[in-house]
Amino acid sequence: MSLLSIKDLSVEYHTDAGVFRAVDQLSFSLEPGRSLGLVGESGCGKTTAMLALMRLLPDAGRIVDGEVLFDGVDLLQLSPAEMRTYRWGKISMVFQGAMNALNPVRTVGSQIGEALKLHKTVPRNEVSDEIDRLLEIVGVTAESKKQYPHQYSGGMRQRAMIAMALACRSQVIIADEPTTALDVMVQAQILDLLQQLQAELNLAVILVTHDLGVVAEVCDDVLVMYGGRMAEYADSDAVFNQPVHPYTRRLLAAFPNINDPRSELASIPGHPPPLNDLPPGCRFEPRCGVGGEKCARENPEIIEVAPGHYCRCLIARAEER
Amino acid sequence: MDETKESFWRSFREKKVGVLGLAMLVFIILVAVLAPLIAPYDPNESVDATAADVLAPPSPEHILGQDEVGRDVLSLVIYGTRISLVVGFAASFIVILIGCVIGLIAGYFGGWVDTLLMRITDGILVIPALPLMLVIIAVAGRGIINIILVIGFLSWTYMARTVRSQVLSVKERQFVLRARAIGVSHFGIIVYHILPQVLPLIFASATLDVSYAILAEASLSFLGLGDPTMVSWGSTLNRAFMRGAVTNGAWWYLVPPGLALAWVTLSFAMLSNAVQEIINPRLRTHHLFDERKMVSLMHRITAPKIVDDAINEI
Repeated sequence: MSLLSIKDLSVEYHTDAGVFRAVDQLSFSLEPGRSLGLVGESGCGKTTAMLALMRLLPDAGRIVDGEVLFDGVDLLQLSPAEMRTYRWGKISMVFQGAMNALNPVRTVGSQIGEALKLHKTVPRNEVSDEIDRLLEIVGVTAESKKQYPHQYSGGMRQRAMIAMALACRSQVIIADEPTTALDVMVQAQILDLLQQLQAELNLAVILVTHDLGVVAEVCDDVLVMYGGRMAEYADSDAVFNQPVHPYTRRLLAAFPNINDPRSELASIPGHPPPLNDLPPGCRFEPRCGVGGEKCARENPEIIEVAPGHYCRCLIARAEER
Repeated sequence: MDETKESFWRSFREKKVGVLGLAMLVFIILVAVLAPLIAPYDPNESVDATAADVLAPPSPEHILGQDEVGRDVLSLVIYGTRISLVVGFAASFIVILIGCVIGLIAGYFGGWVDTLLMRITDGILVIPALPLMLVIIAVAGRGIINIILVIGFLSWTYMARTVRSQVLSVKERQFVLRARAIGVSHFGIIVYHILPQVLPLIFASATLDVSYAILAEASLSFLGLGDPTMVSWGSTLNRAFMRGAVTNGAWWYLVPPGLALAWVTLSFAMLSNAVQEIINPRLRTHHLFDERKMVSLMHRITAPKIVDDAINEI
């Protein structure tokens, strides 16, 4: 059994403007020591899916279907109190933009200590030493724990967030765009740190990003999302070398090729579908360009094009046959 | 926080009005604390008054004259400082307490809790406060504790609304979500993560509440519902009116308590204004705009319409 397995997770936002199906029948699984890259355009449901599995959706968000199994326990069936021990105790999160995720009026150390005290990870009198240890693991000097977030650099803040995510010995870490708003050098350092920690602590990591370069560098598996749905799901090798879904192909084509700097960058014309007014057939059909008329009518099912390589596309099925 | 505090003081020192208000406030607090040392006479001591002492005008022995039973008016005003400040601070403490709790709960939890609490707040907000205070004091009795409670329990509405609106914005910040993810309870999030962000606003609005409470106490006392056992500015004014200070032209009996009230209210208002200007970004004009330019812009926008209306009227 996998450490974490998500089955048919669907999330809707019920607002005055209507019902938005932000995540539709998303499934994936995660083993210890492996990392999954969750890729897609802005607004395709990546963050919503992650918040849903942590059960941290805003009031308007509702999980309408699915299971989130952690070691066989369905997190969606737990009482709020039980869920609180799983959150951060088993699954923790590195948030998008560390500046906003740290309380500006409290020291960084006290905010890391908050997690330690709440989950009673270490005895109360050892909390201070544990904060020092955690900060040193992520490469921040222990003296900086008495400083406030605004005294930290962007990279240090993100390191502190990682230290916080490690605090309660979680087995799964969700990193929601951990490197956005960081410069390239710091980005590389943070990714190295994540990779190194993953190997040392045998962590399972979900990396949410729209940066394919980051995914290629760090992740074992890749899940490409489009319009709230899985488009393609396989190990990195397969996705980058034998992409099946037209969306993945065009996404990769839109990525600059370092070996051929003069080749033209291909963008994908059009916009992702509005989530309250989805097309009846395949969600990518309006922008696809290679699909037939069947694609506009028929909703594609998930198919396994190769062992462990899943895809939601009618053309892919035709090719396979 | 140290840096925030430091920058606060730096901005505060630039606001001359605020510094003056603070100085005036410190002065009046010193007067209240040191009243027995400063006051030339003890107003609670019985006086062997002769006919010459009744409403006597200012003299070297009595700088601000004497009242209808021969007491020293200056001493009355100095001792009155104590009651005014005690009522002011105690009542605004109640205001802060109730206003904060209601504002924090309503803003944080939202939904029906918010609706219920805000309708109650609105209900109290629309009742004219002074008549209600008069009725309650008349029924409950004229003690200083009653006065403090009544003022406190009837004036927390603005505080609650201000705190709520700030909470609505703070609770959407990501560190609140992070705290929830870590497993911090609702209580912990409110106390450790939201309250510190709202505190400056509470401080700014509390300074105005203090002067409101002092004025409310003076109004009650002036209308004859103050604590009869204590000397306050309101009760001094009340007696001055009742015992013919006006008809006898005894201005020295009327003016000093009135001026003292104005002094305290003004100092709090100036202080509060300066603090709010620093804290509330909306009162601060955008750095690209010159204040004078803003004014001239406003004229350009509004003037023609007013002129048009006036012409149409005619």
